[in-house]
Amino acid sequence: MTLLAAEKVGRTYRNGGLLGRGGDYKTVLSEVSLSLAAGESLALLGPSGSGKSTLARLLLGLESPSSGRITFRNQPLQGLRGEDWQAFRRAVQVVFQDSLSAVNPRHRVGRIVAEPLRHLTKLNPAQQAARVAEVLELVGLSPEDADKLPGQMSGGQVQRVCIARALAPEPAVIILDEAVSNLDLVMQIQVLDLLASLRRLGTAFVFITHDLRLVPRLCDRVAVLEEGRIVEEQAVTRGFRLSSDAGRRLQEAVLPARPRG
Amino acid sequence: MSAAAGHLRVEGLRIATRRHGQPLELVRGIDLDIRRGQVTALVGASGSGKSLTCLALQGLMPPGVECLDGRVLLDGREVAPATLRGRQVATVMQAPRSAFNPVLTMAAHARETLAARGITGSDAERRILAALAETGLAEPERVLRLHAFQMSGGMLQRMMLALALMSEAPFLLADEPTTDLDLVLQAQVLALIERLAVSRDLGVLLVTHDMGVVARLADHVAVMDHGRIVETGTAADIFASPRAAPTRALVAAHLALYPEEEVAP
Repeated sequence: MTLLAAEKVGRTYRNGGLLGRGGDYKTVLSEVSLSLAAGESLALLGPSGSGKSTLARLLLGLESPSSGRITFRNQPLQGLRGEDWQAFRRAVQVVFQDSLSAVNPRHRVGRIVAEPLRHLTKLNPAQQAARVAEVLELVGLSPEDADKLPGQMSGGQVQRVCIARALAPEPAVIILDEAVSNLDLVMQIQVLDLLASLRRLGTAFVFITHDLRLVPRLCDRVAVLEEGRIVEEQAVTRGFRLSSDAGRRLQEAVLPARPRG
Repeated sequence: MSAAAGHLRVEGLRIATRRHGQPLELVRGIDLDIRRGQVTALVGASGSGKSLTCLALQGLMPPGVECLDGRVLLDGREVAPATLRGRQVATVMQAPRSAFNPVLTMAAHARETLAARGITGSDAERRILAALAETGLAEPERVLRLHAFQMSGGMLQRMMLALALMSEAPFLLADEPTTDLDLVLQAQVLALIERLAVSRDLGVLLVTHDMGVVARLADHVAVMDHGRIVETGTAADIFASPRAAPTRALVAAHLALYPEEEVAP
């Protein structure tokens, strides 16, 4: 079943000063069509400025496309109201790159992780606390960490808190917008392996990255964006090669495994 | 200036902060050598003390952090690290956007760098254009009129390298210089650092957490873990036969990203 889809989506932004003078328009996405099946894990690759994060914001319903539409379980987002909109907000969660700026530094971890539960579910406070403890353990933290402030944790731990918050309302899909890029490489691999293990719960992922090395650890399929267009879609297999220009440039830029000579 | 220095060394470096009123040592007595014409990688996990070591080499410390001990030697003579900045040592940092003054143009940054060496006027303008050309910044006249917010991360990192070249410092400290760039830009900037290290005979200290960057660029490697240097060696040795546990963990995690590569016996 198609969970989330972009249908011929375009997005333009207006350039120029705060007063909107000299109004030329910049096209960030054009004619992007992409679909994600339930439980699937898709990598969205592309160089900086190719439109990856804009597409993520559209898929999350944080902004609307200038043309085309985003659908959730075959319903266009624009038409969702009331409980349907609430169900969409609950089903599609996100983890951003900069975890420290994605949490309120004055809130304790328990409150941070419970936030989607307060707004998007009917759980009572005791049920919320139980769910918080459960997801903290799921991401390799301990239930006692609920009493900590983000400042008392390392960057990797705060990123786990953000993942726990995304998992809390039992979403159908989590969008990872460069969600591991700020971590050191060993930590990146640990977090990706953790996410891959969560796929047994049936969670789908959209993994936005520019680091091709990380893709096979989490994803079945890869789509390459270049200048706002999808230029390639491929299954991720052992030793897969990308064939589009942008894809080949990313593949050629992969750092060597070992020193030369 | 006397003949350019060839060897920068830090000895017995100890750095501490206080947590809950107790002193907490973050760098616990390390020695590190940087030699001209070589790229030395300082590698380790987040929080292992890499960046603090890099700052101490410039006589800088973040608030609340104190350098307890250690000396910096230039060709065997002790020097005050703060006197090295912009003369013997140039830097490239991770977040290029916050490394530039947001209200100054690139031309103003470049003139300031050269004025610090007493170079102004037409001589300065000539050197600025030459440095921008050397780092591959196209249309240098246009770039010089830009502010940091008008430039991409890759352009800013090239500009930072251009400023480093203008200082004509023999040593370059590069703290995660490509971590914020996408893979294609990263490859370009690493190639540029490699080229400049050769053409200018620079001694480069490359701070990174990515063994792929080490494999790409480093001659020598020092592995840092919890404030100590746990292993040093040539890049080839570190990859072929890592000895210390933190080194083995770094190399294993890195090689796990290359399933098609044969794993070392």
